[in-house]
Order: sequence, then structure tokens, then C-alpha cells
Amino acid sequence: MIARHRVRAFMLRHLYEISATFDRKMDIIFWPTIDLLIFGLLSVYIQRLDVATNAAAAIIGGLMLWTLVYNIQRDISVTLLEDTWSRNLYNLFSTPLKLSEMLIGTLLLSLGKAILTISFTTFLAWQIFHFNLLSVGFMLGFYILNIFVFGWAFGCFTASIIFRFGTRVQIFAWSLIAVLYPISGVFYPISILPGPLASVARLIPVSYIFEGLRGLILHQSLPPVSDLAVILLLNAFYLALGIIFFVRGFKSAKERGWLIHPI
Amino acid sequence: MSIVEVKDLKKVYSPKKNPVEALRGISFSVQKGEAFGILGVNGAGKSTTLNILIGLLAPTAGTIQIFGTDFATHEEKVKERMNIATAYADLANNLSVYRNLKVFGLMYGIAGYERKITELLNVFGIEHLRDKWFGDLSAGERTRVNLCKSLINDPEILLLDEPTASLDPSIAAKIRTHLLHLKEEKKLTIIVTSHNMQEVEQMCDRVALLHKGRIYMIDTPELLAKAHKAPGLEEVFIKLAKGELE
Repeated sequence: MIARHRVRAFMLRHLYEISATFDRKMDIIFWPTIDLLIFGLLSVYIQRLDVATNAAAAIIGGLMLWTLVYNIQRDISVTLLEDTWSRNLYNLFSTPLKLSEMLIGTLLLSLGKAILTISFTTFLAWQIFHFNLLSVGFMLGFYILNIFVFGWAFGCFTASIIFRFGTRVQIFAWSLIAVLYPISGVFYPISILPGPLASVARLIPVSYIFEGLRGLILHQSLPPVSDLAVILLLNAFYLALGIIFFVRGFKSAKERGWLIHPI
Repeated sequence: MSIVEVKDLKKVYSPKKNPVEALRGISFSVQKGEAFGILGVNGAGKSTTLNILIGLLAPTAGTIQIFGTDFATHEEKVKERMNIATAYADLANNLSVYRNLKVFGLMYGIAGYERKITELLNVFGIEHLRDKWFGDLSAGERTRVNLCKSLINDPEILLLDEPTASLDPSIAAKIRTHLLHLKEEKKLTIIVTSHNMQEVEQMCDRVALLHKGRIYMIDTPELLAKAHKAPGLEEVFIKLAKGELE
């Protein structure tokens, strides 16, 4: 016999959870929207593609570099969250550990992990899809380096939000970057984006990287120097901004006592 | 000579919306090798004071001098010579006891951290927990590992926030004895908050009674009791909690 009052109580408990936590709300709307956007736009791109033979390689290459962006930025905030979850943040920051030391340690960790990831996915893509990412040539080094910088900048920004709003917004560690996923030209050129979104895409350094990567794979054409300069300038700007946000977020956490009770 | 000098320390939480005054301008000093207790009911400002002294919380106003230097401008340098054990924080759950302590040993730049960890695990009777995950330990075992962490750098100032909470009385007594031994032997300065009045009476040379963010009185446990015509600190504490001493 099913007791309706218990079913109702159970549902209410989860409705309370949804109303109290941002990540539960995100699960309902956010991911379905992102998926729809990506695969919808991808279909449009494939339809228009002239050089369909290399399309798969371009998509795989885009996916591999996007995974790198995603992992690097996520590692920064998840590192912070791990110590929050185990109530270890108190003990860590009662030591002489400086914020800059914590940040450098986190960046180095993300660097090591991302190198492992890209090495593994490069090997896998070569074995399964016969796509060799290294065939892109020397530009790949420049692109990967700049992906690191952008990932760090974005990760610092996300961590600053966690410092300010706590674990209620911890889902941002995994999902905030997804806002840029459909408009960064990972799988399709930003020219197919609707006007305002294309303008926003031009402010994202990785969109130039994905455009450049696609040009190299599909047409073996080097990107214009102006694009490389824009990548460097935008990355320098975002990294500075990310670090400022990170430091201010920490300061706010220290003033509010969040390091003591990180909830 | 004062090793800790606190002047007019204030802390206001959410100063713009719903301000809560946790500390309303407290001043005190602690001498080298002294055990200084901070007593008060919940919300009196004891933990807030300790958290400011270890740099986890920014004060709203006031100055702190530790080892004769300004804490605000030389925080990291000062913290190399301090440590804290609190019942309100843990170490990483998914690391073994040894690895957790190793992290902190390295954090303080302890060259012989392996020997130090073994020594501390023996002192606190938890050598058998060395390879256990911290997350699998009981509350009492966690408290003892936290105490190991707090002594890993041979601190000159040790802050203790409810240091023996969740410990058996016999183990708590053993730990107090060890801390008092360090105080005598190495001139360790201890600043302690506790709800265990006997512990405070046994450990502390002087005690500050904190009430609603202000220091009501500072004196030795005996003189505090005598001044309030009470047999011990516990009775003074109860009077303070009831608001009879305002």
C-alpha cells in the first residue's frame, strides 16, 4: 500500500532542495538548452560544409581542445571545493599558505592533469579515428598554451564566485563554462552564429583558436597574425581580470568568515 | 614581554545588512610561556577572537601584534611560528592520517617531518591510525590527529578551540598533561577556549571572561572565583551566562 503522505513528503523534500540549490535548477533547464544549441548548430554547419572529407577531423580536433578548456577551468574551482567539502579549508589557511601559493599550486596541478588528458585523447583519436592532432603543426603549441591561460582565467573567475556565494553555487565549477560552449566555434565557424552571439564570440579568445584549428585541418591555412595578437591580448586581459576577481573573492570570504564555515 | 598584544579588536559581520557585532573592542595581552583562557557563553566571541588571531577572519578594526610585529602586515611570517587545533575543522577525508600530516609538515617546511609525525602519533596514542583514512576516524580520533597537526611545526604559540571536545576524560587529561609539559619545557604560549571549566582551571594562568563581545574581566582562575565569591570558575561562568555579572 502506497502512503500518499509519504510520497508527498518525499516530493516536497526534493522540491525544497530544488528551490534551495542553484545546481538542481540548472539540471532542469541548462543542460538540455546547451545540448540543443550545440547539435542544432552543428547540423547547420555540416550542411553548409564544402570539404566534408575533413569535417570529422575538424570536429574531433575541436572536441579535444574544448575538453582541455573545460578541464583546466574546472580543476581550479574543484580543488577549492574539495577542501571545502572535507572542512579542511580552515586548517589549510591557518598555515602560512598564501593565496598566490595556493593559486600557483592549483594552476600547476591543472597543467599536469591537462597534459595527461591531451596526451591520452591525442593517442586515442589517432588509434580510433586516424586523426593525428600533432599534424596541425607548430601552431598547436601556441593554441594549447593559450587554452591554458584562458582556462585559468575562467577558473579563477568561477572560484571567486564560490568564495562569494559558497557551495550553493558549486555547480558553476562544472557548468559555467558551458555558457561559452555553443558560441566559441568549437565545432562550427562563428560566422553561422546569429549576429549578437557572433559579436560575443569575438570577445572569447578560444573562438579564434577553434577557427584557426579548423582552418589548419580543413584548408591547411595558417591563421592571420592579427588573430594571434587578439588571442594574446584578450587572454592577458581575462587572466588579469580572473586573478583580480579571485583575490577579491578570497578577501570577501575572509571578511565574512566563509573560510571558517564554508557552506 | 608580551608575545601577543591585542588592542581594541572589533568584528562586525555583515556590516551593511543586519550587522552583528561579534567583538566590540577587546584588548588583552599574553606573555611568553603563559596559558591564557578565553571563556564565554556561545556567541560571546571566543572563536571569533581565535579565528582572527590565526588569520582566517579579517577584523573590522583594531590591531594585533604577535612576536612584536604587526600581524596584518606580516601574517605569513607570524603564522610560521603558530598553529591551531579546533574541534570545528577537519583534515582531508580521503587522505590517510600520515599523508594529511605530511602535507602540513611540508606546508610548514619541516625537514624531518617523518620523525616528527611518528613522535606525535606516539605522544597522542594513535600510531595505529597512521595509514587509516581520516574520513574513517571517530570524532575522538580526529581530535587527536588535529592536535598532532597543531604541533607539527613546534609552534611557539598554540591556539586551542575546544581542544579536548569529544575525547574520553582519561585521554583529555593525558593531552592536557602533554600540553602543560610543552608549556614548561619549551615555553609554549597557549591561548585556549573551552567549555570545560576544570580544564581551564588546570591549564590557564589567566582567564579572560568574554561576554557579548566585550571582556568582562581578566585575572587568574583563583582570583576570578574569589572576586565573585564563588568556589570555582564554573560558578562564575554560570553567573556570567545568566547575565548576573553585567
